[in-house]
Amino acid sequence: MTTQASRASNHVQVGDCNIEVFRGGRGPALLSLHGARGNPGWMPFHQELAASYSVHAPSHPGYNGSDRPDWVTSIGDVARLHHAYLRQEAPGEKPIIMGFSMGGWIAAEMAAMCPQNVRGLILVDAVGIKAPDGEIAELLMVSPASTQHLSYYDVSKAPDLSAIPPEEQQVLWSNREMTSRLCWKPYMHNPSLPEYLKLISVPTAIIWGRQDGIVPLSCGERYREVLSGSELHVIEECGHSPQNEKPEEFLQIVSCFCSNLP
Amino acid sequence: MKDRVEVFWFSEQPYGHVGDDDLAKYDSGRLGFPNTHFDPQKAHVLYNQYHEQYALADEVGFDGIMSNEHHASYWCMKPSVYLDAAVISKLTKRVKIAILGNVIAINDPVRMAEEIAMLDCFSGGRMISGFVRGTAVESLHGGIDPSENFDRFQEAHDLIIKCWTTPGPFRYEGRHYHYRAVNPWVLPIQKPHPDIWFPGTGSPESVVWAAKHGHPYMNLGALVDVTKWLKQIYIDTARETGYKPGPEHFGYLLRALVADTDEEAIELGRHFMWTENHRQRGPREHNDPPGYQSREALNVKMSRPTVGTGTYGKKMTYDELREVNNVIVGSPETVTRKLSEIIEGLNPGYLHIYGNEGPMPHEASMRSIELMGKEVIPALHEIKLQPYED
Repeated sequence: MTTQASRASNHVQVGDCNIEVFRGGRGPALLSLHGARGNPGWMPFHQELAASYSVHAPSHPGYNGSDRPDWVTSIGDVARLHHAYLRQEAPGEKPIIMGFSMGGWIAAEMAAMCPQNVRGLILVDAVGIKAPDGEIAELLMVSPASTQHLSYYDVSKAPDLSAIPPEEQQVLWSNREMTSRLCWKPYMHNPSLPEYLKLISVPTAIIWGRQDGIVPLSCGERYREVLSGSELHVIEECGHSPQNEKPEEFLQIVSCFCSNLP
Repeated sequence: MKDRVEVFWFSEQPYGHVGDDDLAKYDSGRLGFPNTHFDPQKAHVLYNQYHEQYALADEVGFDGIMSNEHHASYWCMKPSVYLDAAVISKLTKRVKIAILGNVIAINDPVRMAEEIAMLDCFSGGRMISGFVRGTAVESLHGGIDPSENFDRFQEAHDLIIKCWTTPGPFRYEGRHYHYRAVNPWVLPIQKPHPDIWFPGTGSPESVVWAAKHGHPYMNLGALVDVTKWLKQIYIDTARETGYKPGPEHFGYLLRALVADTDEEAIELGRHFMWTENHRQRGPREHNDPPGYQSREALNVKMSRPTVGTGTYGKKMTYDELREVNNVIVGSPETVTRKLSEIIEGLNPGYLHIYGNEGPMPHEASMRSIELMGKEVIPALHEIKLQPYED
């Protein structure tokens, strides 16, 4: 993934795992969790949020520049490592956790584990729940190029995959190996997660692209049902990545949600 | 040392009723090719023909019959190699029965240990148990994360041997498999257990793994020069591991057909090219999904001209394949001469005859088996295999 040149990555040691992280800003902690493709680096919306928050965008264990410990085999394992990261790097804080796609699943598991330590939850086109209607698209048995049309409402905005240089292709491939390990079965969801979420109360914004062809909107609706007090924002003419396809609307929803948090 | 080659009959049991036109419409010849093209009534006829071929191979002098397993494959109607081996064990009296192999990474290892033991009892100790990782499609179709395949393979391998050699009951707690009371009642006749083979097409990693474990390595149809290179890797690894390798550690598979005349055989042999371009066709993620194999292993495969059952490498025409003796067809005299050259060049303890393909007529297969058994194999048995040089 392209690393934004404006911000270099740091490395921190959390237990036996060296974690790569992009950090910036001042204020309360906000953890940003990337999706299965990998860490896109320091993004424009990170820069915007850094005006009010101390933003942490780590690479999950096994992705990009982070270590891949043998013991990390599930999304729950990843969630525990990120909690340990927060205890270490944002001690005493109650962070906002925002996750995109697979990162949204991780964020939801983190909230379910430790709701008292999560100030707010932002789930963006998140997997983690089996679609009540439709299916989460197959991503591992198909080529990335074949799912581009499912990711974007306006496919002309999708990045040209053939232009990705070989060394980045290798990182993407390696990220897919880790996704295979974490999300193979049950595919991209945890059957118990909705039940976990019914047991907690955390302010939550669920953001979805209306035309998301990767994770059906029914997953977002299910998240809203099981998370008491959550709000669902559906962005029109938008696919799986509102932060890329509708960045202004996306940022407005996030900023508004964050500033109203208790 | 083993000094006489053993010749095995092998058929993938293809469903010969599909053709290029059926397959070309889909993005893949396996996971993407709809099973609505399968007609069970036609399969009924085909299976019984393939079984007749087994019985004849046993009768006319083959030393063994090899079988295998694939899933979602129109060219191999054997999603259970155990069922096929059970049939062979009852249709035959003398041949060895080689499973090549058990796709141990996608199945329950304890049950596999039990089923192979059962087959060894059925057959009076004629089983050879090959263990395979399977193509990646086997993992995908079996719902197994391909990034776990090799890890599962190794754990299942160890556990199956433990089932055969450690008196039960015992507890087993591994990474992928967990049983608190393992006590399989049925055990193999052969002690300590049936021979274990390991196949490969072009990957040196497979060869090294087999050699380190002392398991005979069966090369599935690579070109002769690649095979010699891989065989040397086996020999070197075996010596490093501390044993003396010989023909008993090495086998080779090629496609071969015998007819009464060269002309007839050359015509029939064209069936070996049946749907050649579709068998493993599909997105890279079907044959090489993330985590299934190392990038290094793939680079080696891509760089070598592997053919036959291999997925990678350059495609060759029927005439080119005949030219390099990767496909051998002809009269008994011609095939004897060419197979003798192969045996004298490679000194394999086992030669697997991939004997039919696609819509090749049953009668042609039967005639080929008969001529091989009566005229070719006796001549091949006369060749004295040479030890592997120090």
